[in-house]
Amino acid sequence: MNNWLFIPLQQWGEEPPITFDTPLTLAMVLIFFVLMIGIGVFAGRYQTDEVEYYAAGRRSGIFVIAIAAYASIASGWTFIGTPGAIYGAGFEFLLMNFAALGIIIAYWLLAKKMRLLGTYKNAVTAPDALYYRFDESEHVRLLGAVSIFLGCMGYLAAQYAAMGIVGALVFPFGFIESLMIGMVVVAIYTIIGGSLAAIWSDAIQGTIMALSGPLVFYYIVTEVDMDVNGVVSTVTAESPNWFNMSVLGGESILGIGFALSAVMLLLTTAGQPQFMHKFYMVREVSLLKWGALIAGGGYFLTMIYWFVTPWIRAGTATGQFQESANPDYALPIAVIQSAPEIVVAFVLTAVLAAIMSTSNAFLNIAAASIQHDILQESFGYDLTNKQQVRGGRIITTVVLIVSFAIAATYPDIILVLGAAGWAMMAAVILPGVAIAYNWKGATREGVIVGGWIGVIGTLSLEAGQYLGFTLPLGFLGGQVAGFIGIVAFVVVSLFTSTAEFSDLDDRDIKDIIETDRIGSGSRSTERAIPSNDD
Amino acid sequence: MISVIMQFLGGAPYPVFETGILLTIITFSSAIYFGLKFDAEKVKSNATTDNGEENVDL
Repeated sequence: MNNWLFIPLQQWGEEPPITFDTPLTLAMVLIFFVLMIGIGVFAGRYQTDEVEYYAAGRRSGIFVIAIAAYASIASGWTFIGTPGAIYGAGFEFLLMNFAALGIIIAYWLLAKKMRLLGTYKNAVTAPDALYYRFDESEHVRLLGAVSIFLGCMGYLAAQYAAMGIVGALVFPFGFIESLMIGMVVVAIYTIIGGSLAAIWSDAIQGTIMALSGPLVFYYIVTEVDMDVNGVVSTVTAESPNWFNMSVLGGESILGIGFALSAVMLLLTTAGQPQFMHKFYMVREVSLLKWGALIAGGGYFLTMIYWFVTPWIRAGTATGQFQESANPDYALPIAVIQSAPEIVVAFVLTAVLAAIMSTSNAFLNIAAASIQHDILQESFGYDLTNKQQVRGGRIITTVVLIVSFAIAATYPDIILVLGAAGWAMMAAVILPGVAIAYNWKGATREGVIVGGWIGVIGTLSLEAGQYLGFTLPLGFLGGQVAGFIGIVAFVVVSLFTSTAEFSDLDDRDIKDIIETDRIGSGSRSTERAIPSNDD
Repeated sequence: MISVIMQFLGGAPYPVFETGILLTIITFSSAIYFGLKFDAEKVKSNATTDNGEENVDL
């Protein structure tokens, strides 16, 4: 197995082998940037307190929320890293198709319950959900805030690598200069406009991303002009194991451990705070009805970028597409060499949009975890409404700068940082929120033991990987540690009792735990759901 | 566009294609099921106090 096959988005500072900085592309990207900044300035007028800054005032409709939710999951990995990984490591990587299913599962577990938590408890962050579920435990809240802060730092670093790669394609500048331009735009609209700007920009970005998927598929497939059998025979002649699946017992390029880690990563979407956070913002529970279809369907359209990879591989094998030593450039090169200029410009704008939408979501929740959960709730700082907004802006700026410094300092472990970031958040939020609000037996001891195992285990295994230690079969350390942490959470919960359902005094929380995920259920006593306006 | 999709669906000589198509069907059918069954009218209420009286705060 070649190492490069397993390191998508690992390249930092590398100049692209091809560019597309045409006037039309520059104009389209500039119009997009101006639109984003305009949204930020407009949303900035509404920023009066932390509920506005971190939960968009709880008055959003479902289209904005559902599209923003999937856009925050679809990232630089979706458009650059995953097609690159499939191109290099084989079609088995299509197991990442679990991504859309992961979104549906997350929606099913969380949507209704988080919406109720926002109304009943004025919750604005994922650690708020942990705190109330586990009998107002500050330890659990702090665990959640720490995991989110560390997770955001890792994930933001991976987004910056993608932003530099795509920016260098569309701007007449190099990697670092292009990255700085993108960061400044994200910084302006996120810092000024808070989560309101973030979800509206996400909604526009998500729409652009979804539209671009079918365009990419159409132009690349028609350019290569081969049917499925032709593609399979062309690719197989060059790389015999490219279509084989190790998880089905075949001799594939991809290690089975890596394949299972990818599945684990996608199925833990319910443990991602940037996704669950969106449900706090919905105006009415009834609006949630078709959100799963909108979010899952939107993500599916972006996954078309992955389905087209066999044609890219075949086109490269026959010399139609320029070959690049770095698989991250496989998809951009194929798009540039097969689609009309205006489509290429649109697709590259969509990819930039994906990276920016994830970046602003992480900036927002990282700042919320520091200000709301750590400073205000855990350490007891009492801030006025104006100080909350100002503090949010300052902390967002600091997070942006620190995460950039981390990425630039450790460029060799960008993927490790990203996968570890996802794993650390999932290790705490998945058991502590997604499972615990659906399982009466979850206990405080369970989430504390399992959560710390997940966070510390991830940091230890990833640090070991940086120093040269690798797990067998391609397993990713974060996903292994996260899995062990979730098992520990369940086992410890079975043998302890603090904050399990019968131990809770808070009727609101008991109601939320017992509320059916979809319907009202056949219960003797039911409670009308208030709107956020009540 | 339709012919391209039909080409894509038609060949499928390896399980990876079928796996992807199966996952897609599961994803969309579960999302549609969620929408059809979703009932937003009521939530569970532990609407009695410790003394068995109606909890008026609700």
